Amino acid sequence: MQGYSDADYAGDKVERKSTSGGCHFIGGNLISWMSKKQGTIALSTTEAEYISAAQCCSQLLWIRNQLADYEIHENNIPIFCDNNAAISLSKNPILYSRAKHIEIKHHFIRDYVQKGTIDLQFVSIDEQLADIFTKPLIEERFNYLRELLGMFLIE
Amino acid sequence: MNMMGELKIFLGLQIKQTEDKTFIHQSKYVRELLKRFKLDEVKPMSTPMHPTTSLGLDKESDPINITEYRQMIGSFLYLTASRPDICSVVVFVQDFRQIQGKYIFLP
Repeated sequence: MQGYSDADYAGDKVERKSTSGGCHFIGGNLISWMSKKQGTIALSTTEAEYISAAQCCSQLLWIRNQLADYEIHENNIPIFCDNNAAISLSKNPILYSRAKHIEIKHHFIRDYVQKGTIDLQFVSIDEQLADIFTKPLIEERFNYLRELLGMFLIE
Repeated sequence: MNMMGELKIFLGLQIKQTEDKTFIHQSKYVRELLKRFKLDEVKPMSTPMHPTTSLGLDKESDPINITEYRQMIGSFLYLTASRPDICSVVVFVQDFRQIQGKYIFLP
């Protein structure tokens, strides 16, 4: 089980809100995905990515609970994020001046990272599958990511 | 599912099974959708949106039917159940759903 999370900082030109995107896999198969405008206005790319990771985390926790019904217990579920600062933020419980305004609800990922349920890992932007859920892409990259998601032309 | 034969359709999702893979798709739904909104004769494009495109209001053209616009968005949202690739673009156009009647949207 694994998740990818990405964010497009201030993608909305009018409201200046960021867009979260994420996709979740079980054993290499895409099982759920989301693209959603964030409710709060992020002040930095790190914050936007952090919010997105928290949303991804909640979805994975739900899937984890569903799997627990089938006696499948997963820990250290990786979430791939392309922002190192957001990863550090989830591992370090200290409040910095640039992060102290972030709403409490987004910090719940910290708890799960510390418990070892979720493992926030770095992935380079090229391998970031959730990129397709945050913004329009050029054709080449769009087709590349679409294939990695497991979408094919059938018939 | 032995009693009923191979699973072909489930909750509106069409299912195609091959030797080693199972696919879901909604091609029947897409065809009906294109016909319903008279989009079956427009020029097809290979990707949903170009990165440099920005959407805005067009105050000069004739008013659009906002009900139909919302119906379109709703239909596309349902389509994202099998098409993750159009997900972000549907969210993009969704931003304009609350605008009251007067304007059309420039690509």
